[in-house]
Amino acid sequence: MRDRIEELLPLTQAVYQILLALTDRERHGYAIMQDIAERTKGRLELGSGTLYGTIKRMRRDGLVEEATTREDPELDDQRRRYYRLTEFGWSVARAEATRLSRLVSDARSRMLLEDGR
Amino acid sequence: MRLHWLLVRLLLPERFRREYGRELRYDFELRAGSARYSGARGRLLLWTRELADLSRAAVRERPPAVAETLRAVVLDVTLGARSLRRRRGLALGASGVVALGIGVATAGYAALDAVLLEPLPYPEPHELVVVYNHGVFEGGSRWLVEHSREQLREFESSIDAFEAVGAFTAGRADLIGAVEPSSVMRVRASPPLLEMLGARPAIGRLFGGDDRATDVALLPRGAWQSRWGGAEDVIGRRLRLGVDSYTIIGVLDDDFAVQGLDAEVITPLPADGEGEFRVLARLAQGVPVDVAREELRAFYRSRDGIVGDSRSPDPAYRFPLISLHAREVHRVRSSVLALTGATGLVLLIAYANATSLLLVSALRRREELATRMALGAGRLRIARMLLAEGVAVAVAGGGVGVLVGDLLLRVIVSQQPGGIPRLDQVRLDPEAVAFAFAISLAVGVAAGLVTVWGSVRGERTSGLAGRDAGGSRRAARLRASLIAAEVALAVVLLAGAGLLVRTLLELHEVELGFDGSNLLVLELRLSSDTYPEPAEQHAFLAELEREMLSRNAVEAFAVGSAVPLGRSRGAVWVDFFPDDVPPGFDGSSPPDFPGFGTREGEYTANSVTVSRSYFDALDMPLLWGRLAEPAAPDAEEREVVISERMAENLWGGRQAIGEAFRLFDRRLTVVGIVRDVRFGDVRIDYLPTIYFPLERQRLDRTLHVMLTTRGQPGDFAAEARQAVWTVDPVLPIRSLATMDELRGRWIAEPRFYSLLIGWLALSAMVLAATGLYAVLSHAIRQRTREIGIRMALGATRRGVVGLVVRQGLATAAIGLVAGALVAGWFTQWLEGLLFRVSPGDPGNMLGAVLLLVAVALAAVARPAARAAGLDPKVALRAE
Repeated sequence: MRDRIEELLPLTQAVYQILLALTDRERHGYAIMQDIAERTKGRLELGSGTLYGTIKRMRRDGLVEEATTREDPELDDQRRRYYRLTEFGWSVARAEATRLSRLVSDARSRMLLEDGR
Repeated sequence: MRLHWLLVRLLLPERFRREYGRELRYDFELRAGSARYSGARGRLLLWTRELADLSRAAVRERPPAVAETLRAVVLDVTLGARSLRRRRGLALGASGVVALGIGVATAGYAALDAVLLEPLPYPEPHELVVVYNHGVFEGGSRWLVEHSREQLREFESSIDAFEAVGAFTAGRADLIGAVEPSSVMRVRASPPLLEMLGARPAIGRLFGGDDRATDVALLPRGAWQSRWGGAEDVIGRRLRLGVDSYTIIGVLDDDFAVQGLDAEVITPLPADGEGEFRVLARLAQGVPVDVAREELRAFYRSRDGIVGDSRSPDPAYRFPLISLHAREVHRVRSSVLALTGATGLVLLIAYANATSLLLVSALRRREELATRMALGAGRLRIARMLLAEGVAVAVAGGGVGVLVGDLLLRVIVSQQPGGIPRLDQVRLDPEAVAFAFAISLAVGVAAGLVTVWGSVRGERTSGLAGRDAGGSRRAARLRASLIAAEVALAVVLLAGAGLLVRTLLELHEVELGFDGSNLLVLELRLSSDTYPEPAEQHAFLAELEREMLSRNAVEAFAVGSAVPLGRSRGAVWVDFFPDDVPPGFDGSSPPDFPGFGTREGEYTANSVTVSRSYFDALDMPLLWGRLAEPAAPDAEEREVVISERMAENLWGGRQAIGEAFRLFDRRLTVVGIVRDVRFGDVRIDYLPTIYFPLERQRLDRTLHVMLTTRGQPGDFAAEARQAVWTVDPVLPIRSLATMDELRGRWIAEPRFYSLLIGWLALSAMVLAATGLYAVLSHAIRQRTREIGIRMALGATRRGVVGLVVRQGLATAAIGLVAGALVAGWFTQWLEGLLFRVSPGDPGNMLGAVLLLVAVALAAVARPAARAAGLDPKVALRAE
């Protein structure tokens, strides 16, 4: 499994953020987009075409799966498809986060990042 | 939303669509509804982002080969744009021309969509129909607008095709209880009608169901905001309509309009009793209008024994059932189609012009193209390059064209005459922009293809050698046909414009018979509640007269039940004493009295009740006799004044004085004859009119007060209102207008149409002229050597000029002939808009042709001068 994970890294921004969005609970597409936009404070805004294209590939790679389809009262009860992380998806997310934090440590050791910059 | 789905279908592969299509749609709807993307800028941002995102997804989701091709196309167009930058003059010229054409066409499409194509704003609007009644009279049957209550019940029980039947009446009523007393459009509706038309309460509730109360009222949103100031606590307040009082129980979430009438107050239909109503029905799901119509006809036939024919060649507009949409757009349909057709013509002209320019440019680059081919570029590659240039020019032009279209639409909306349904709602929506984009693309591809066809054949060797007989002959023919086409289309537009301008002039010139330049007209209605007796009515008028005349600005005061050019009219049928029948009476009415039926043995006349000062106020001379003296309200003998036309028709003129006729058992004696004036539409002939003296009579409830003002009548309007309310503070003023404004109403529509077509014709002429000029300039350049030779061989400058002019005119001539033929067909569509000029008027056609000949001569002038100015020695050495 380690090799499979390694193959996928580094993740693109979109994939990484989608994984993050699904760490706390299942979400449907629009909620994922909103969560990302909020969390990154507008830095990354995914359009639907890009989002679902990415989700399609993530499903193919086994990172996410369809959870349920249920009505969302916030959306006039439209029936929406909800997605969630797979075990594998969790592992990949953690691996990427670890990789990124190592890179940040490297930068810090050279004083590139001074107090929260 | 359908535009979005269209884009998704266009751009994304099917498998992806199937899997994620619904979510794409939901997400877009949610985003569109969010605050961030509201307003015009927000929407632009939304669509731009969505388009970019979908395009990226389109490329990513496709198999690599396809993605590669798409990328290649984008590259081609980018290169095309870059190469055009080197030839900026041409690029700007062609783009500008395309911008004009696309702008006009987009505006035309948007207007067509808003007026004719857009479905009515009701639930399932295609199921709604207007139901006509059937009446049998001596001499045949007629279709009627109104139905009895009993008939309504029968519809509900016996017509299977009707899923629901709604009834209403509409009329003006005097409203008291809002911000100020006024006259409003009041609709009485049955609960099924409210449901059919999708009325929903925003505050409070609707009437209907178990609630049988009839003294309740609903307010449409617009009226609530304008007349009650949008007050939140309006529920429970009372209002008065005429003598009746109502409690407001609800405010609708939107405006409420039925058959073109904008309701301002809605009350329930009375529960029982007599009454006649207009009826709309909703057809059962899946039942076509034809089938329902047949069922209704059978119903009438079984009830009446016969049934009238449907009376119309137009399948969408047949009695007794006409679709609601068809009914509303019927009147303007052919005019709007004609105008949209005209915008299409301008687009074609622009296309021909742009193509011609691109062609000329490609020919000038023959050497460059030949070099490329010698260096290995295949014909296909060259063709792709030229095609891409065409597309780049067109798309750039299209972008500007959208702005032009938006500007045009603003002008259209601001100038609109008001009789055209929903024209005030037209705007450049995403659909129109998509249309513009699609058309630009089509124009670009078409122009590119023609350019390729006209220039790429046989280029390989001959281009390098510098001379090229075969290819350029074909190109020359092509250019000539393009120009001829432009000229032809310009003739068509000019012919149309000419007719409309003539109509406008005729309307202005129509003799009105009176002078209304200083008149202000107020329409008032005295309710029988406040003014039950004639004495009270006349007391009010006397006081109003005193009040008005006390103001400086007012010179004279007159009252009548109708004013010339106004909308009210009353018809009466009079007959004659057996031993006193006028020599001119042939047994029935004058045949051209519109809107009122004729009756055997009776004479139809317009009837107006007037004060003594009426004729003076209108400057209508009394031709013979004197004014009529008022009689007691129930006197059996009365004096009247009649109009010139009536006197001539019946008694041959002044002999009418002293003659008498009969109306409702009263003997009316003619004591005076007055000059004709136009009541109603300026387009109809003078109506035979009987003038009754106003004094002492029980008055029509609608009165027109005419004030002759010193200075501009419009300036007195506000003061006039105050003067009325000084005498009676709760008297609603139905309308207030100067005589010029009244007249303007009749002219507004023709003026609007001539403005539009005039503008289109002007664009067409400019385009045709510049096209001709460009082509001839190029031709002269091509034939410089030839001209040099001719001059060296002794041709005079005159001869050379003649040569050029003949060449230019020959091309134009073909276009003129073709154009004249097409114009003959096109102008028929305008028939409904014309007045005193026929569509095929030869003078008009000749004028259009001559005008274009003049334009063509102007276009050839400079090239001809240039040709004449050529120095033979220089010319001979030219390439």
